[in-house]
Amino acid sequence: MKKPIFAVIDCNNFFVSCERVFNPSLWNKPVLVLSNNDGCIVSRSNEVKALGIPMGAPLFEHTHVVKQHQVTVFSANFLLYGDMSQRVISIISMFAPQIEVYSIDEAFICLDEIPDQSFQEYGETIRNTIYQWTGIPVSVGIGPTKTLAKAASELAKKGAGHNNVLTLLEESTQSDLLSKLEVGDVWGIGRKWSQTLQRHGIYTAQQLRQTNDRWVRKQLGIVGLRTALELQGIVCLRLEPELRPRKGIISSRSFGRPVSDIKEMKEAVSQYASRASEKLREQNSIAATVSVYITTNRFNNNDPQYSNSITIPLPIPTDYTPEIIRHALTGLTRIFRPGYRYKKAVVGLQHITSSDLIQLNLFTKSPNISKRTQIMSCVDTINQAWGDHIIHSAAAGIKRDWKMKQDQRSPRYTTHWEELPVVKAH
Amino acid sequence: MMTQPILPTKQRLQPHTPRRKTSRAAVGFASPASDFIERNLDLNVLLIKHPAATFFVRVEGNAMEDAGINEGDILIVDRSTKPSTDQVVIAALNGELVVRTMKTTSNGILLVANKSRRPTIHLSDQDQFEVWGTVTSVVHRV
Repeated sequence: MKKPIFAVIDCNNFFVSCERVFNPSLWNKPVLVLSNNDGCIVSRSNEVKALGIPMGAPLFEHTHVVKQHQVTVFSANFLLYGDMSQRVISIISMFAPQIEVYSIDEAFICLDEIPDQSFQEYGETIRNTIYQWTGIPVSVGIGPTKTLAKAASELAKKGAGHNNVLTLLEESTQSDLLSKLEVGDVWGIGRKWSQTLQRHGIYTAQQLRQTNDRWVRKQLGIVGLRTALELQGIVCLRLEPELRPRKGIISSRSFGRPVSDIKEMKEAVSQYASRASEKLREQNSIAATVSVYITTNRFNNNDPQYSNSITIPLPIPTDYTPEIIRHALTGLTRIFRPGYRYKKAVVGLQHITSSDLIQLNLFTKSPNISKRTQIMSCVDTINQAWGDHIIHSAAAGIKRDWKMKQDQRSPRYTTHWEELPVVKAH
Repeated sequence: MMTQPILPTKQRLQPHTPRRKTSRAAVGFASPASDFIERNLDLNVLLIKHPAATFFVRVEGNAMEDAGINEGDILIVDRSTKPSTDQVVIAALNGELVVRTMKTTSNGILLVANKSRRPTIHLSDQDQFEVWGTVTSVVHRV
């Protein structure tokens, strides 16, 4: 059997890049995007990185530098980012029969059917097509394992490779380039592990792949060992085309029998969305995106096969069931194709953060949280009895503070007729 | 809960009852249109060939009037096709998005207005320029 070849397509500074597509005055200028709840920096242009402003830092810690260098600051515009993400994903899907959407800005594909000599060229075609069609710059990493592909894309971002595409297939290139990759930048090695490894003199990816397997297993467990083996070129992780959010909640179940009717699919998706929202409230969180994945039974060779997923950004991050259901159903109607026998539906919630109210209630923790949960479950009960939006306005009122924090949001260029980009004809 | 199989109740209860529609067909012609009733004309199909690469933009200014592009119109822009000379394009030019007819000449690229006395833009090396997309249609309210 032919050895698998993985490619990862990773959008560069994704949120900033989305802003730049529609606003060329930001090209080559320092730009950053904030999370819309807590004012932390979630996306930085290369110019901002060069200023030494770290990822995830609260904006107020860097106001001085931001002012001094006239950095343009945006609030998150999740509708725009979600729409651009879908465009990028659908373009990647044209290049491979199966795709694992790993997050809003990166996806894995298999290149097994591509002739050996042309991986680099194929990667560059993918990169160029995405840029031309959407204006989003991406890096492409190609390798014999997912971890090596990720390492390649990480190195490509730093200028290795050609045209932001790096193929990491030859043993000699691997050892050469992996010695230039810090161990903390290896996919799956978090900060804590990185510290542990550095304490033992392991600073680069190359050093990690040369370390004794048993020692790695003892220090980092089976998950860490898997990473080390993958760096050596041994496949431990396969493509997982199903929706599997990294940091998220999912609710799914296989149907008792194949479902072909959209009405029945809607019922199922509503139910899962509702259950996912409940889980969300249980952990006092809010989500910024909701995803829907549907699939036919892959093991039934007689049936025509179809599967698809979609991620819908929520206009305002929320834990509010009807709102989440509504957007999940919008997603479903977009990906649903009649004439297939569906086996399974999955609803996922991503970009989860703790709700602002929790922070406000730091000093009176439990009573208010439980009160809020009671209110929401009350809302759910009443809505179930009286229809979806009967007490919607009250809930919207509770969340009003979210709107105020979107002061610096750019126009929703691709989803609102009133906010289209303006082209000059003077 | 998804514990019980999803099955429309009607079918479960009366699996063999002949449908009413069938008996009605016996007494007269079925509408010849009935097979096509759900296929409405969709403007997206007509106007958008590459959804992932298609964007809408709004026009400000009247320098393209003679090309049928007026102030306030919405343009449909397809980024997936590389424009050839004499096509109407959106260009990212020195920090702005502009709409012009692009001409490639031996002296370089020109961005031509479609209205008398409006300036033609001669691109120089100093200009920050990129073709942003090709205009494929105009949405104009009358």
